[in-house]
Amino acid sequence: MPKKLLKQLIDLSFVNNKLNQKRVERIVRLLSRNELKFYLKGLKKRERELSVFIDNAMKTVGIDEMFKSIFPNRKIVVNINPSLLLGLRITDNDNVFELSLKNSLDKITSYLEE
Amino acid sequence: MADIKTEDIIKQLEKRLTSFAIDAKVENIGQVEKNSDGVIVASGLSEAIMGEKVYFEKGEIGLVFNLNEDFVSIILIDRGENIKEGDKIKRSGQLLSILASEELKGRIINPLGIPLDGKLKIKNGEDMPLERIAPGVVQREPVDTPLKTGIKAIDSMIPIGRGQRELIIGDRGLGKTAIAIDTIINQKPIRQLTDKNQKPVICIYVAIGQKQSTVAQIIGKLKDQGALDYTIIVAANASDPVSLQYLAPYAGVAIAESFMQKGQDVLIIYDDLTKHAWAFRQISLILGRPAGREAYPGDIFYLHSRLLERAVKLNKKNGGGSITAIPIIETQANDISAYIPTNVISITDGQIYLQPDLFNTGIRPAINVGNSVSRVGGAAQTAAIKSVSGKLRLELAQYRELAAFAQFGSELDEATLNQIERGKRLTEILKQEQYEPLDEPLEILSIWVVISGLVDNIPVEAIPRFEKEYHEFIKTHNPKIIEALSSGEKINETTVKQLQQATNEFKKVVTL
Repeated sequence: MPKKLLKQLIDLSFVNNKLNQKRVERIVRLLSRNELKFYLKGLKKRERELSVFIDNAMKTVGIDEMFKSIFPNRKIVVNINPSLLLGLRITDNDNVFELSLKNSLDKITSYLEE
Repeated sequence: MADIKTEDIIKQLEKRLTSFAIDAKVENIGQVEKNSDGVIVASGLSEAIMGEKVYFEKGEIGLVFNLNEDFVSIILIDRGENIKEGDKIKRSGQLLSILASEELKGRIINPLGIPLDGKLKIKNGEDMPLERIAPGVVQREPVDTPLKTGIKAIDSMIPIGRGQRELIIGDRGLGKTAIAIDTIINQKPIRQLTDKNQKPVICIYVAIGQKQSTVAQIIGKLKDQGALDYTIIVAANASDPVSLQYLAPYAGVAIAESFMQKGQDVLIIYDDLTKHAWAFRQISLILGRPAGREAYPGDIFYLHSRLLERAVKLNKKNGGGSITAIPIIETQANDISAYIPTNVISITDGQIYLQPDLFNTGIRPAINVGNSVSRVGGAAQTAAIKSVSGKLRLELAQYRELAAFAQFGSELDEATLNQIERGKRLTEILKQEQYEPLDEPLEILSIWVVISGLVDNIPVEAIPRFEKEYHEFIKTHNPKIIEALSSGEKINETTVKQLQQATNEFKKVVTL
């Protein structure tokens, strides 16, 4: 099966930006081993693209709702990451927004080193 | 040393911090998907641009080389054994560049500007991009100043001008690098003092895919000859990553451009472009680009044309600087019609062709004058050398033709025999030892003395000794002749008479 077609199948596996189990089960039965590998990789990539990862230095109530309004139709995944010291790190696909104390301190250190 | 107080340091740091802005960091990152043969396939990096420098987690540097729909291909400039699948890649937002300054003179660096000579890192200088569009026609002017190699055969018959691209082509072990090194040695400012109109030349030697021992030998030779003070060595050796070998000539020309912009004249030697083409072929094949003739990619011509187009003579309005490029191409079994040699021959403004037969018969430099040509250098030649070289070419061509005839053993008339004998002496006088470049007046002396027929009665075997002693004699007893020949003006009748007189005097005192 050509890769272009497989990519279309990956698109069709999502309904309203959510993975549809029934569709996936139907598609998987039709694919060869190599095609399946490509398909699964594509699904993972798409899943990652549809998610926004929030690294938070401490547990904050209501952070999910806040980011859901900023990123509508996206899955919000919140992780607690104490190494940030204070603040947030938002990873949206290949863009990273760093708003943490650790980043500020790192920046000051490298600035002074220069 | 003055004591530095802690308070002063704190004050300095506080002062620096007042101008520091703590902004949120926004990064475009990627992830390693595959690492094979020095090429990284990465996902993400959607904002990366072609030729951009990227950093890996452990500080390794890569260069974006392919932008695909789903992934980005990056060539590694460092060793990449520690790069694993899933590692993060950061964009730098910069194209690859090198710091160029006067500090580089006498230094040995790699194409990233990292010192290979164990000395201090170069921190100051102009940031020069490795890839750059060559100056346009409006900024250029015709080649009109000679770049003297100090090699009689080249300066007289295949002259090189500043801003020219002259190819040295031949099989391995025929003395291609030797010609290039002699040319560098000949640019020594003290030598050039004889000609006051000439600006000093900064030399850049780019070693591509060569053995470290060979490069070390060349550096040693340049140091011995005092030529390293005005030379910069850019080396990407055979053991370095192939990407560095690919980048080396571009790094060399980027440094050259920095000097040229200041109105200086630069000589750059690419040793050699065959290995450069091999490096690019390797990268292209690993990247999966379609292979063409001899498995080279489709843009192999552009690889060298964009590099050699950067050799230029700028007009006065743009500073009047120049870059003279001497690329070297190694042929296999004397085949100059192979893919890369024909490409580079067509790009350059002439070629110096070295032939194994000549080398084996003891003619060194083994230049085949018939197949060698300089398309623009003639305009740069001084009138003095031009007045002797025109006759030289003709006499040599006639000699070659007659010598071929004489091989049949048929009886020849006296005039023909004389011409053959003259040709033998001409061939002998054009021989030159390595690392012994000559000043232009001495080159003219050597050629003139044979053309004028004054050495026809001297045995061919004695010619080298005669030449050496003749130079010494004229230098000590007739410095005015050297002065007249140094002026670059056409040799006038008075000088010819003086020359004849001096030569006859010398012939009386010399015992051969």
